[in-house]
Amino acid sequence: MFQYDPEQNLLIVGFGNPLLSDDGLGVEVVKALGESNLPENIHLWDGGTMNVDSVDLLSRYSQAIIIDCLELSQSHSGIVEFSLNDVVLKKDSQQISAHHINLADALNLMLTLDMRIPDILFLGVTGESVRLGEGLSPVVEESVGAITNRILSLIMGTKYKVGGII
Amino acid sequence: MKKLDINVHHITRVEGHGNIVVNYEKGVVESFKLEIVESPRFFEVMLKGRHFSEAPQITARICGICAVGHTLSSLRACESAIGISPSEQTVILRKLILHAEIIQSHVLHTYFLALPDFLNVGSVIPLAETHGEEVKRALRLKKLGNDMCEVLVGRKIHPLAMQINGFSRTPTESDLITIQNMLRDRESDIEKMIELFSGIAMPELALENGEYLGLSGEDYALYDGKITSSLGNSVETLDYLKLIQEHVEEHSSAKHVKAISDSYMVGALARLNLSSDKLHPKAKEALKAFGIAFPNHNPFNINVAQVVETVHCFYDSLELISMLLDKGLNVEDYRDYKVSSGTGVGAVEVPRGILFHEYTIDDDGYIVQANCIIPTGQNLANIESNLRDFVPRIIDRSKEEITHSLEMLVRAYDPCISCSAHFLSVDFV
Repeated sequence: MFQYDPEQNLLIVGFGNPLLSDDGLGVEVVKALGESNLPENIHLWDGGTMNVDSVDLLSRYSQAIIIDCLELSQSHSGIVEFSLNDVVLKKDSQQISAHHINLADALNLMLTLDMRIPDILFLGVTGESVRLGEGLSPVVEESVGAITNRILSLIMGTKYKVGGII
Repeated sequence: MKKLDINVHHITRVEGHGNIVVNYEKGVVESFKLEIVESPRFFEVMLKGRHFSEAPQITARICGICAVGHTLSSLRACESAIGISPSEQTVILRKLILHAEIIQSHVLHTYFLALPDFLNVGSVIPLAETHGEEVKRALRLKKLGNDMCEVLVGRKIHPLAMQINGFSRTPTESDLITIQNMLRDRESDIEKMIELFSGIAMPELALENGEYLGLSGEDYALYDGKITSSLGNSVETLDYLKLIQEHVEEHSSAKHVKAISDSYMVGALARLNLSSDKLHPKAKEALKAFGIAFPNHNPFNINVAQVVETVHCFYDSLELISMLLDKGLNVEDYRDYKVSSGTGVGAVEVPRGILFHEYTIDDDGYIVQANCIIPTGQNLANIESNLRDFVPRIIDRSKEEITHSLEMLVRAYDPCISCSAHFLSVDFV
């Protein structure tokens, strides 16, 4: 289970492509967090569509929060929250390309190379559409604020809303 | 007599989509196509009506790997259009940044895309299981190129500080010393890279000749020089269309390009064929370890050429830094120029070959015409020609071997469209 340690640096990453509708969720959350006055040891990163360089970045942190649009095998409404221990990383040894390394590939690579993997909390919602187009669907758009507040609550140790404690 | 139909659908996922189609019957390769089915990007149209000072930032987005290269070609086209030449300091700094990009791109291709083929694994993940130290080394070297860019131009990709006529933030002496130390820390990794790849035998595809195109000049020309064909012609940058001509092929959404012959090669091997005598001495030494003669017509040796160029860029970076430190760095006013109408061309050697940007701007600096010719497009006809020559030589091999060999041939060119060329299906009829 992810336990935020304010004494350690925290990386908050939003993955996704804002040109693929709901896939831009992570990037939008990072943008929203950027408007908050976060402690200096918390670093935001627009992770975009990932690449092999994320291996180096992730290895420099002991804790990370990753936000992304989710594709789940079972339907689920609302915010989904899980840690690295809750999932099995897919290993597709034939299709990987270093130009297009995905998160599972990056984490698999780090595990194989005995690199330090941060304690990771994943947050996301199921997307309605990842078709070409700008803007999130209304449901996913609504979740941006909820995920942002959830992260701020975790960091501040209390209920928090963008702009102040509630 | 064996009949072979090969249809490779979507040999890529990211930088583009391409298919390999080869039909072989009765001892003849009846068709050999690298179909480019990716939607056109329309960057040239997007540039129309934009102020020319925006072009470098816009065109950097054409590629996440060659963002520095596109920025430099664009800057040079803009500067050529308004008739200005940046300072010597700017030119040296640009050369240094270009070296950084070539290092990270060549390391990515040679280690992550090509090496799994030679070590008989499917990708970098199983490679990490069997050759963990090599993968760690690759990550360190790629990080070196990225970090150099970050220190010099503010970001690992899509550089911020490079501007028309100079830098919005001039790197400091301290920045250069930081990079110098980064480079020195990686010297043993470079030595081990040479050792690893020089021990790998490249597949044989001994073609009799070929046309190679690139910049040539007094040094190992990456940033500046005359556009030169190995078949003899050489033109100034502005006259590039006197040497090369684009044309449309029905099966490709990327234009093909020809020069003197029907196809030509650009990129690391083309550059070595044109200018291997001008490499940094350390790179010349590395080249000896591979024991290959030049000019070299085996496209699989593009992999070798990329390793040798990595060595060149590594050691030449140290020399450029020394030169800059000796001269001292000055903060220059890059905005000190006047806008006037004109047409300009930028030609820069980026990791995969020579890249052209051409813009025509009006009196106020707005772009009225733009043309970009990227290296992968220039190589397409040559890849198809190589497919035609290669298939009869390997037709007696097993289905799996033919499949693997064709993938390796396409991948050797390091095309943007080959990012994940592992979807090959071969049907024997």
